[in-house]
Amino acid sequence: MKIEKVSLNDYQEISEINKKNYLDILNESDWRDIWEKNPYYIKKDQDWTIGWKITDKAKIHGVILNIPYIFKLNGSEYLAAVCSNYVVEKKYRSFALKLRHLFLNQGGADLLITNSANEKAEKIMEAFKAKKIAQYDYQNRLIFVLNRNKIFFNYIKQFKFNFNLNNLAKFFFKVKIPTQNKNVTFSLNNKFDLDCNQLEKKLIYEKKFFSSKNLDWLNWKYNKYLKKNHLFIVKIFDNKNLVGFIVLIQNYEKTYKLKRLSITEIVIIKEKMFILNYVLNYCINLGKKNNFDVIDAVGFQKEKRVIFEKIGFIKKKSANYNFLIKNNKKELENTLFNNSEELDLSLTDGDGVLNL
Amino acid sequence: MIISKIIDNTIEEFNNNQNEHKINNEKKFLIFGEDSSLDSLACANFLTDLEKNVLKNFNIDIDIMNAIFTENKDKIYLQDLKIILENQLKK
Repeated sequence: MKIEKVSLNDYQEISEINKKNYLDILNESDWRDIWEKNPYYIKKDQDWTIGWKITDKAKIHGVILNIPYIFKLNGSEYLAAVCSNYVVEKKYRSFALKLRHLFLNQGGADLLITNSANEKAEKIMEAFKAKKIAQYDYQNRLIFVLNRNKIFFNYIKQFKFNFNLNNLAKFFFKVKIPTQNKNVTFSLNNKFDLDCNQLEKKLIYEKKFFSSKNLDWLNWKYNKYLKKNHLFIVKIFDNKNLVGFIVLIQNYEKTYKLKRLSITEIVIIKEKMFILNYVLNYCINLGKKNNFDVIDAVGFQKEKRVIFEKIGFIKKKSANYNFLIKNNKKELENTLFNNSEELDLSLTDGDGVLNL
Repeated sequence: MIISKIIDNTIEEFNNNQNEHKINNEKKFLIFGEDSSLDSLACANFLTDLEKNVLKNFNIDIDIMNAIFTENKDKIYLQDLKIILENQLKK
């Protein structure tokens, strides 16, 4: 038994292990693109380990993948390693901790992240001194029901919401959604443009902690959805000035057979946050027009989540949305673990967005 | 309290707090490695309990998980754990 570095040529074998363990995997071209089109990996090339594998008799029996991300705060850049595709065959389970250790103790990365951890993975990450982010309400997915009949039927079949009285009211009665503001306009796009880079500069002035929103990173992150044209990008203008954009991924929820629109990116400059009311209204209409069953969102800061809930989004607790970070940069400690209301991370800040 | 007593107490607590896994308090009990009866979560839970008990008794915050896996060994027995722990406390 040996532990070795993963190579891009290991796709086929990793795909077979995933299938045996009922895990999805991207097609080979999209999978290779995770690294071959990654803006950091392209620059650094061989310096980055794409993952570690357990091999025995020349066969792979376990794997953990390692994806580079760049986060920004106050003009500084931080290199993050995001854990993905962590799977180990039963016979080799005792080495699962070794893989996790290699990921969490790799040199060079400022942050070691998993944002799609189940409860078991969460406990193991914590044993290795990773910590859960302090973000307000991160574990509650927000859902807006478009197809009430289908969701009601699914609820009976166990699609469970946190059904308190407030949520029941939102489910059965129409919520008053704000009408359009004359100065606010939207444009619907299916690709990113250079104007993302201008918006990113404004975010830096706002002293926010965020994963890079520049054109190269957005094109990489949403690569598979861009190729399939499964992406809506809603640009937001106030008095004809670009003040933000929202990204929605079109996907299919297999367990409950729901056609779903997932809001994965909300970039709006702080002083224009009130516009989120209107843009969510626009997204709801977009979902209705295209016959989606639900719209959902994971994460986002309190200020945004409050607007979601006012519009009629319902909370649903999820055991698989634990966001844990091992932080190697002292100056980020407060931002990540003591800043519940301002932290604004979402699925898009880890491998969660690759797996929708 | 001496280290072996802390290990004994942690084993007892671990065995009493769940029914799925049992740690036999023997030098050759395999904590980590092929054929260990502990799965990854059980191993992590036991070592985390051990860290907490060390902190409680010695007021020293150790990182036993990372210390064990930095050893680069395929197998860690209970007797190895005691040595690793002693080395951690000497630091």
